[in-house]
Amino acid sequence: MGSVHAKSLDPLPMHGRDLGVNPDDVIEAPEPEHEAKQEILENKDVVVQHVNIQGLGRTKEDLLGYEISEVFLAKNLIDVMKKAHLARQKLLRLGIFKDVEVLIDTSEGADALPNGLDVTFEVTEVKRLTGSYNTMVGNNEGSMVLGLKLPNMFGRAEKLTFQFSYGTKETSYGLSFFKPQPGHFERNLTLNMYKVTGQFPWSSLKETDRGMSAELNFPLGITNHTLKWEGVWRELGCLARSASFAVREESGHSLKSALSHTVSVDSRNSAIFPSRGALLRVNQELAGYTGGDASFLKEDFELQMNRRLFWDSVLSASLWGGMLYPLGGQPSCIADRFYLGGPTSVRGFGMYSIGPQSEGDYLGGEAYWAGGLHLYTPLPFRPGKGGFGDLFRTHFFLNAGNLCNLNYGDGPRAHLQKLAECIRWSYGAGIVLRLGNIARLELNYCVPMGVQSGDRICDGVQFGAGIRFL
Amino acid sequence: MSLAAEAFVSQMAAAEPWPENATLYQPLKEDQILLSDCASSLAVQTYLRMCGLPVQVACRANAEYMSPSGKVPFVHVGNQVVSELGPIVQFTKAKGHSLSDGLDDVQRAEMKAYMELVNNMLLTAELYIQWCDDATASEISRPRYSSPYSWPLNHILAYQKQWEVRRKMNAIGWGGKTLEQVCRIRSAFATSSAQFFFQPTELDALVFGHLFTILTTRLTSTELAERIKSYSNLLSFCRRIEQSYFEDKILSVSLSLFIPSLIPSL
Amino acid sequence: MKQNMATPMELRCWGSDWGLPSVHTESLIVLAYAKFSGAKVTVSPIDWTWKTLTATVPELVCGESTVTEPTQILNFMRKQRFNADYELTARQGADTMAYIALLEEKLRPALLHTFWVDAENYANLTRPWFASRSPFPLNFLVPRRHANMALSRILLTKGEAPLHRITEVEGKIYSDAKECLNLLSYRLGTANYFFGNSPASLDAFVFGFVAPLHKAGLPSSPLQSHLRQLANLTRFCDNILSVYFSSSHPGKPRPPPPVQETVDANLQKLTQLVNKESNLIEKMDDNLRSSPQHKPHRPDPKSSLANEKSSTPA
Repeated sequence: MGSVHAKSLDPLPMHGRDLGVNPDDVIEAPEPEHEAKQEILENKDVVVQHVNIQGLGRTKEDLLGYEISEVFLAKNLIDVMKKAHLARQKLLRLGIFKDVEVLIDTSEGADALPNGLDVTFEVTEVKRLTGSYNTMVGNNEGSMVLGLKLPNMFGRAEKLTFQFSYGTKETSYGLSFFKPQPGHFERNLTLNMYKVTGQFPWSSLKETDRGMSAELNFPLGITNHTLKWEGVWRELGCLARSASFAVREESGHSLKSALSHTVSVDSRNSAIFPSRGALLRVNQELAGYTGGDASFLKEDFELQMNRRLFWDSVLSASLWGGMLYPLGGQPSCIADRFYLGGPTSVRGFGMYSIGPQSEGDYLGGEAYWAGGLHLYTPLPFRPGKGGFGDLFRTHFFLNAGNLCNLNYGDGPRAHLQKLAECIRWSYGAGIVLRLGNIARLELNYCVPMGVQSGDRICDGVQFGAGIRFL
Repeated sequence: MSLAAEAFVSQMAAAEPWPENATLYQPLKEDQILLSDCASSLAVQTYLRMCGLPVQVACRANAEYMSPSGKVPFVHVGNQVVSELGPIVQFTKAKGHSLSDGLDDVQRAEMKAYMELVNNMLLTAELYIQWCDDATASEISRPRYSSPYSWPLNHILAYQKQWEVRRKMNAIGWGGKTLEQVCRIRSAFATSSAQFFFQPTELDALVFGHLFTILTTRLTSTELAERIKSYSNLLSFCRRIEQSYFEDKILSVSLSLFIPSLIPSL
Repeated sequence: MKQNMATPMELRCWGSDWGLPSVHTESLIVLAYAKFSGAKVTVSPIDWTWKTLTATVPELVCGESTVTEPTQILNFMRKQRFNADYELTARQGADTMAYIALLEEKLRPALLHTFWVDAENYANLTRPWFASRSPFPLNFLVPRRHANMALSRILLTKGEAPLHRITEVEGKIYSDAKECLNLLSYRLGTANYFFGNSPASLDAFVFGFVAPLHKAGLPSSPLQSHLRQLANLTRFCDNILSVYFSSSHPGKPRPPPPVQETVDANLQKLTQLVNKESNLIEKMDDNLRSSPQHKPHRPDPKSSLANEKSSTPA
C-alpha cells in the first residue's frame, strides 16, 4: 500500500457508481468518523474507486450493488474495513454464498487515484440445487423426509424449497417460494403451498390441512410486521373409534380463508436464554371475509420481559392471552380454538389438557390467559463454564393460567370474572437445555395447583420440548 | 370395527336399555341428501319404528364424515355410535329388540340373502345412477352433494366422491354398464322381489326404504319408478308399511316434508 | 332336438387341477352350468397361452359372438335353450338371485383374500399354480396382476373409511364369509341340490364358489377348516364332481329328470314352509291378492302412495 496524499483533494465521483446505487436506498446514513488519530494511515482520507466481486455465476450484479454500496461511502481506511465487513455480513445473510472473502488493495490502472482503494469480494456461490434426506421414526410409524432447495433461483436471492415426507401413515409436502426485496432483505414475500397432517391425541382428533398462503414481512421503525393471507382446506376426523361425540360432530371438511396481521417488537439479546430486553407480539386473524366457511376474529398476544439480577441469574416474566370471537352466528371450530397446558406452557398439566372437555377429549376454549415468572440461574457450581455448560440453565418457575369459553352476551366484566375463577397454577424447578437458537428442552419437577375436574395433571417430573414457551 | 371391539360393544349395549334421546343422523334433507343415502336412512327409520324404538332424526351437513364407517345413516344411542342397517340390526338385537327371532334357520338365510340382493343390486344401481350417469351426476348429484360447502371446496369434494364411487364400480365390474342395462337389472329385481314374505322384518324395512325413495324421488329418468309402479304388489307393500309405521302425525309431516324437497329443481 | 343343431360353443377358461375341472371360480360356474343344462361346450383352457393376459376369463365363443362374465354367459346359454332353471318357480328364481347376491357380497371378498392376498397361500399355492400355467415371461406378470386386482377389489368394496388397511378388513370379511357358509348350509339342509332333485344355476354358483375352497390344498385357511365342518356343503361339491365331472361319464348330459319328481320336491318344500311358519298364510294371502286375476277387486294400486308424492311439483 503506497502513501496516500489526499488532504487537498475533494472526493471525486467514483467509478464504482456504475453499479447503479441510488443514494436514497442507502440503509444507514454515513457518519463521519471522529476517532482518535493514532496512526497515519487510519485517518488518511481514502477513496474507494472500485468494488469488484469475483466468483459470480448466476447471481445478478444489481442485487449485490445494494448490499455493497455502503463501501463507497467510506472516507478512511478503518471505515473501509468496517463497511466491507458489514457488507460481507449482508452478503452472507442472503443465503446465496457459501463463503465471502474481502480483499482491500490500492487502485491500479490508468485512472487510479493516489489515494484510491479497490475492494474485492471473492464469493463462492452455493450449488444451484441442494437436497437433503432424512428418516424419522416416531411411535408406531416411520417416515422419510426428502427436501430440495433451489437457493438463488433467479439470481436475486429468491429461494424455492420443497419438502416431501412420505410416512407409513401419512404423506405431507410443502412448497415455498421466498423473494426478498433487493437491498432490503427484511422486506420479503413468501408464498407457500402445503399439505400437513396432524394427530392430536388429547382431542382424539386428526387434521389434514391442504392450503396456500402469501406472507409479507416488513420492518417499520422498531417493529416487525407480517401480513398474511391463508386459504386452507381442513379435513377433521376422529383419531379413534372411541372419540367422544363432541369431537365426532366436528368431523368433516371446512374451508378457512383468513387475513392475519402480526406485529412484534423484540429487544431481547437471545431468543432462548435472554438476559435482558423484552418481546411483545400481537397477532390478529380475521377469517370469513374473503370466502370460506369459517368466520371468526382471533386476537392473541405474547409479552416477555427479562431482567438480569445478581450472579448471572435472570428474572423473566411472561404473559399470554387470547380471545376468539365467532362471527356470523356460527359456533367456533375445534381446530381454531385455543389450547393450554403442557411442559412449555402451564407446566404440571398434561399437553393441552386444561379446560373444556368431553369424555376425556379436550375441546379447547375461546379465551385464555397464562402467565409465568421464572428465575434462571446457571447450573450449580457452573460445570463446563464457557462451553458446554452454557447450554444449560436451572430455573424456578411459577405458572398460572386459565382457558374457558365466554358467553359473548355478558359484557367485559363477566368475562374477566370468568377468566379469574378456577385459575390453574403450578410451581416447580428444573433444568433447561438450549437446542441451537430455536428450541429448548426442559426437565422439570412440577407441583400443579388449582386443578379442576377434567384436567389432566402431570404431578412430579415432566419432560418437554418447545419453540414457544411461557 | 374389529371383532373384539364388536363383541365388546354388543356386551356394553346389552347392559343398557334403549334411551329416549337416541338420535339418527343423516345429511341435510332439504338440499343435500342423495337418493341412496335417503333410502338407507328411511330403511333404518322404518326398522326402528317396526321395533318400536323411538329415535329423533338430526340432519347434519357433515353426517357422512361423522359416521364411524363413512356411511350414513348412523345412530347415536347412549354413548354408542352405530352406522348402517346391518350393524344397527345387530345392535338392537343385543339390546333385546329383534324382528327376526321367529324365523328358523332357513328363513333367516333367505332373509339375509334377500338383504344382500337389495344391497348388491338396488343400492349399487342407485349409486351407479347417481354418480356414473353423467346427466344425473352433473345436474343432481354433484350440486346437491356439495351444497353445504363453499367454493372451491364444493367442486373438489363432489368430484372426489364421484371418482371414489366410479373406482368402486370399476372394481366390481359395473363400470361399463349403460343406464339402460342398469334399469334392466333393476326391473329384473322388481320382478324377482314381487313375492316377499309378508311379515315385518329388517328385510321389509330395507326394501321399503329403497322402493319408497325411488318412487318419491325424481331423477333425470323416471323409468325406474315407472317400472316399480307396474308391480301393484310392491306399491301396496309400500303403502301398507307407510300406513302402519308412519301414520302418526309428526312423522308423516316430516316424511311428506322431505319428499318434495328431494326433488331438485330441474 | 333343436339344441343339437346350435352353433358349437367354445369356452375359454383356466385349466383343471386339484381334482376340479377348473381352479377358477367363474370358469367353474360356467362349466357346471353347462353340464347341468346339457349344453355341449368345447372347453379350451387358456393355460400356457398369451390369453392368460389378454382374455377375460371365462369367455364363451359361439360363432360370431363372444360373451364374458358368468351371468352373461348363463343368460346367453339360456337363450340358446340350455336352461337349467326351467323348472324353477318365480319365487325360486328370485331366491336364486338373492343367494347369488349373498355369495358375491359375503363370500367373494374372503375367497379373494384366501387365494390372492393371504401371503402364505399366495406364495405356496396360488402364485406357483398360475405362474406355471402362464408362458414366459407372463409367469412373472399374471399372478401379480390378479393379486393386485383382488386386493383393490377387497379394499374398495369392504374397506370403509376408517379401515383402509387390509389387516383391519380381514376380520370382518372372514366373519361375513363364515356366516355366509352357515346360511348356505342351512338352506341346503339334507337335500342334494338347492331346488329339488336337479341342479340349477344357483347350484352352479355355489359349486363355483365353494368347490375351490373345498379342494385346494391351502397351507393356511380358517375358512377352509370352517367349511370342513359343514358336511352337507362338502358333500354337495363332491356329489356334483362325481355325477357331472367324473372321468367315467365325460360330458354326459344328465338324464332329463322325471317331471313328477320335481313337482313332488316343490310340493314338499312348500308344505315344509307352511308347517314351519304360520306367517306364511299372510304371505300367500298377499300373493293371491297381488296375482293378476284378483286385480279388479283391488283398490287401484296407483292411488294414494306413489302417484301423489311423485307428482309434487319439481
